[in-house]
Amino acid sequence: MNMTLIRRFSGLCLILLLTLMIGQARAQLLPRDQVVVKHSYFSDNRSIFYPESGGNTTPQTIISVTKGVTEEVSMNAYYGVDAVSSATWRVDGVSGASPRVDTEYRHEGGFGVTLRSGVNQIGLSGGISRETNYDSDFAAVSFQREFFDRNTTLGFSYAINRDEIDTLKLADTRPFPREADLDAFTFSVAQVLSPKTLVQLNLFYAEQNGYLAHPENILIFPDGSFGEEIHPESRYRRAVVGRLVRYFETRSALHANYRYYSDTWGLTSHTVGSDWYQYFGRQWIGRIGYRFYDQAAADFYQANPTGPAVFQTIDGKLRPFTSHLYGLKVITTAWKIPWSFIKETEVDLKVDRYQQSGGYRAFVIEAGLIGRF
Amino acid sequence: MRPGFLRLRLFFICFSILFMTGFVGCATTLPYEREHLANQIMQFDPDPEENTMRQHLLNSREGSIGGYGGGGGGCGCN
Repeated sequence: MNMTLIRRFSGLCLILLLTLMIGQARAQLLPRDQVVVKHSYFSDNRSIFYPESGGNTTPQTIISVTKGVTEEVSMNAYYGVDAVSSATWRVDGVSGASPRVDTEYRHEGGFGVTLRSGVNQIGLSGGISRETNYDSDFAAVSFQREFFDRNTTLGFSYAINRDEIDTLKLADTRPFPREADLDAFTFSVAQVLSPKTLVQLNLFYAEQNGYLAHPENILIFPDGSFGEEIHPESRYRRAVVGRLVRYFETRSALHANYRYYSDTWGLTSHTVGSDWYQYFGRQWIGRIGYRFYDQAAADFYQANPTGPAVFQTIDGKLRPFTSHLYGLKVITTAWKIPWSFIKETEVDLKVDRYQQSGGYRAFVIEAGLIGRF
Repeated sequence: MRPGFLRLRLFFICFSILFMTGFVGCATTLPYEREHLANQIMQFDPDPEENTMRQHLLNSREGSIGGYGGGGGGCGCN
């Protein structure tokens, strides 16, 4: 990150802090004291990099604890682990085969602090993610302030990632490990339009620099020769998101959202999503959702590369495709944990079906338990 | 100046204009009218852990990222 970026970010932080300091004092509530356990099981039919490959499975567990330490300060810590049955595919330079490697584990942990004072909120968080060939350190700071009798909320956040990428290829002579950076900014405004309607607009901008390809992805040209995946070493990404939440007297709520995304690799996308929440009695909530995604390819993507180029890729994330996500979720507060310090219990079960054009399909089942104390 | 900063500035200007004009004409919702807004199903992100896991899944299978979380915001009705 160069000095110009630091100066501009520091100036923005100063303005926001000064704004926060003149805030009127009125108590807000901190995040609730709770422990959250989520376990999910993911399964797909093939790799998005190698269509002829087999699928993988990924069980994942996250544990998160949030506890208020004073009337204005709340702390959160979480830990998660997932085990991907074939996260990385290796193409042998001699045989051209792409054998499955052993299960890869990814461990992630983080810590956060939320400070609230009157109509203001500041959040600080950080964490690390570790896996065999990819380490990531990340941190974020966010500011949020309410205006106009709490009918308008303005927010800003800055997130930073510093990643180190290594290779799993045996006897790899390339200069690994290599680094990649991400600096992401989000501006957000939320507005209460009526006692039943909320809207939100988010503007997202991110800069990525460094090694942005995947070291294990190897191109196979028509003459049988091999090529390394080569991506540009910078990528500027931006997105605009609009969200709406509307309550209905049938004890229901409609969530709708739209995102337009574009970046300097020429990739653009439209995302439309909607969820319907419905109460059943006092203790049961059902949710049904659908999300549609339409993506245009990156400028340098070639489905069938004919020979070496300045930039070349087989990354399935950069190809043109559409995707559909269908989801069902049930939430209940009907069951209680017989531990005295747990005052409220919430249990949920979710099923997602995800499919991309071209034949990629995935399935997710997830169970959650929230204990509030 | 790098193109990224020009875009960032343009984003900020657009955002400020939208922010300044967005609330004009919106009737104020009073505290005693916020019963529905405070409901769990009316939160933009009612289950942050689920959202994190889903975004992680989608970010590793699609070319787009960002805009759905971590940026603050909210209805101010908690």
